[in-house]
Amino acid sequence: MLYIIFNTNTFVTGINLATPILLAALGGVVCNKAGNFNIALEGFMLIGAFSAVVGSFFFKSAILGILLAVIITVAAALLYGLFCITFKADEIIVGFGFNMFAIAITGWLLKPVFGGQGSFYNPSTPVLNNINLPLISKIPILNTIFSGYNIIVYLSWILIILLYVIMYRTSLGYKLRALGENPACLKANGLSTVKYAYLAQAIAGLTCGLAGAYLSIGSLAMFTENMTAGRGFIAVTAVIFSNAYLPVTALASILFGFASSVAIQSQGLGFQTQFIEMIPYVLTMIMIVLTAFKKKSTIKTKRYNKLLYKIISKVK
Amino acid sequence: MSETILYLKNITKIFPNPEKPIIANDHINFSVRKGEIHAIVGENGTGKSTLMNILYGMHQPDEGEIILNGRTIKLENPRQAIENGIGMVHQHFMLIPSFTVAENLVFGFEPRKGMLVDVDKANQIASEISTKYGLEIEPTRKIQSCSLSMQQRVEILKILYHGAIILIFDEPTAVLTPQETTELFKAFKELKNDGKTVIFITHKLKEVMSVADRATVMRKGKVVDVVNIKDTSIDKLATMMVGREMSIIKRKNTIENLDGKENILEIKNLKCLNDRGGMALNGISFALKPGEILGIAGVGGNGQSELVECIMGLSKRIFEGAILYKGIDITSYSASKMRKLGIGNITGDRYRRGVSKKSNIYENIIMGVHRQSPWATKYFLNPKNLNELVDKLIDTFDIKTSSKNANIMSLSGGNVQKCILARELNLAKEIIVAEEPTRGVDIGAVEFIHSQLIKKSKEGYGIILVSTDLDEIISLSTNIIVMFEGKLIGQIIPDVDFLENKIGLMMGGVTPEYNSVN
Repeated sequence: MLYIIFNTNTFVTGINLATPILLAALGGVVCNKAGNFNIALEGFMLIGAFSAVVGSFFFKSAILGILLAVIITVAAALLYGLFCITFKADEIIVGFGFNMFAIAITGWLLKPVFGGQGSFYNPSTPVLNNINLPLISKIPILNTIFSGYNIIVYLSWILIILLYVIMYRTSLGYKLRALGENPACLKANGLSTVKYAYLAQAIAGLTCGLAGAYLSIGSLAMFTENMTAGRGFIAVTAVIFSNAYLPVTALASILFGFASSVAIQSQGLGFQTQFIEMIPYVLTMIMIVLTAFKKKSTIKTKRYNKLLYKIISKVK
Repeated sequence: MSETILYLKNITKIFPNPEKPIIANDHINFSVRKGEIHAIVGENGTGKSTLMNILYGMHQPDEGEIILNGRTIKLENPRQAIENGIGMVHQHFMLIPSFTVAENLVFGFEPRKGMLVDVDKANQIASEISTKYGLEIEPTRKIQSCSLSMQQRVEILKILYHGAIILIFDEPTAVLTPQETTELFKAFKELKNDGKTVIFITHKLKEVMSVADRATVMRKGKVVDVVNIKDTSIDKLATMMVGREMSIIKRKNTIENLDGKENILEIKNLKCLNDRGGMALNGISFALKPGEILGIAGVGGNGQSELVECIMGLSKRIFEGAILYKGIDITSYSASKMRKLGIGNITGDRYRRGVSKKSNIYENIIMGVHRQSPWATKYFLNPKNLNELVDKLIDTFDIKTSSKNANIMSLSGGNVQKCILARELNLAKEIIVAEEPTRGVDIGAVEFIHSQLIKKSKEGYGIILVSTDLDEIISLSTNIIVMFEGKLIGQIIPDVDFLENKIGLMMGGVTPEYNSVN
């Protein structure tokens, strides 16, 4: 029975399912560190998915599809930033509004652009090729687990390391993190807070654009209304759960992917499909509850500190 | 003496304000000599910080110019100030909690290795600069686990790393213990020996006397005088800070004999923390009698607002002491229970705590009594009685409005304050706590509020009047206590000579004993 659930196939499916969540979560972490709690990741991703399929269909190139997705999603993220940063609107309200806007506009554009309704599928539209890595593809087992994915998967792995280095090892990352923790500090150094706030959004636009492209032109060139189906919110959960610490966020996102994969594999064991499909969302809820407990315990520590202070001051 | 390094000429700064524009700096001339320690002394809201923020490029002056080393310079942002060798340690530290000491120190000017920040180099810089100036820090420690005095040292080293030759400190001792203050002043002298110029803002006169070479005294946006510390005394400084030598304030209230009356409110050894975990109140005790107006004077931020929060049941950080209402311990009562007892609270911070900005005048006035008979039963309001009440109050308190259903924000500041006054005086049974009741209102409203408070005290109400406006305290109180750093530094009955002078000294942290010894 275990073999049905845990085989190389589970890994491959897991990585495939984790990739869009991982990418969106990476963007979410950057925003979060820069002081913006971004729940519009879902909307960004959906816009990315739509633009990717449009680019791929009209330019007859999947790579140009990715490029268009990134450009349009970055623009969308900057629009979100316009409301949050320049107009100083509440980020939750803007985020909610933006997600609804994304569903509406992509659904509506389907007809004028492709002439269909509800969904678009065209077998002649180019999709991303799977790439075999030069060395690893010669090693048995590892070649199936780590090789043979499309370019976005490899990009997502590179982005984990790249964004970590940027956030924690470069001057730019210092400024982004300072923005989230003490914006006055930037001002006191004569630096613009607005510039860095927009930059964080642009990075989120980039990663969510890739995530969206992965969904729509990763294996089949297809777009359906609201095709992100809550993956952006799962990414938000990964950000909250990891306390926006990038390595943990990446792990949490991958865990979500693998959980879904295990769920799919266990269909062979005769569970109902609806039950299986529920699993990632239940996992999300469990993670949120766990995070809430963690937060509560830090509050308790604070209370404990206060008690300690009382005792010390009395002794004095 | 040595030459002038910096000259602020004719600086004027006006902050636009819908009620009435605030003139923070009114044609200020301020000069600093090379290598001196220069104190800027004054009460709250006299424009000291504004002036320094202009010098640091955070604010732009509406008029005037900054002359550094004989050259007029324009400072459009702090970066330009830093480039001109001006550094500032703000009252609230500009540090990033999750960064290490060294990372904070080099922030904005990081040493690089290729594309990356060279963390080892940063640590090295931090320890080098630390040894050079004798300010001890731990480069690899996270700021969030550092003490406030270490954080301050990081701030000082940070601006030295930026290459500052003029160092500005905004109330540097506000967060420090006495020992840490001594250490800081030692550092000031070190900096002076090193040829740096130090400017620091304070209202603590003893500090000025002990460390500064010269002092500029400011009052109400203007420079009163510039003095050499050698040629002045603490009394002279206090007089200049408060603004007059002889009593010119007309007392509006009379003192009556209250002996034999029982205390209605008693505060016993109250200790409470502020929101940063420091001591806000450090053992406060006093009693309030009916018919008394107890004035609590002091420079703002010495624990007055925390005291009011404690009495009104808004503080959750009391850890010692008690508040007694006619002998009953009410320390742990919630705000609504306190109000049910009949403690009215007139606040000067009207838009944050005084009124609900989204509600209309009627709703704002009935808040509190809307749970009491005869204005409400257990489950329902009694609109007829409430309407009568509101109409009556609008009439007696002369609130100028077109309708009681108009939004509260359509009123002028003075009229909003009258609404609060009407509500609280109607609600209060025996005790009124008034915190800055006339802040930012016009002179007519001030007169009205003062006369109402006196009227209530004659009716037998006990009133606690917290104010940083000395005129208000002196003209209304029958008994004055002065708060300094969370403690009562002295008490004074306002029928003596040189009253302002004495209070001024206490506000500057000089105890009456100290005064008599000197």
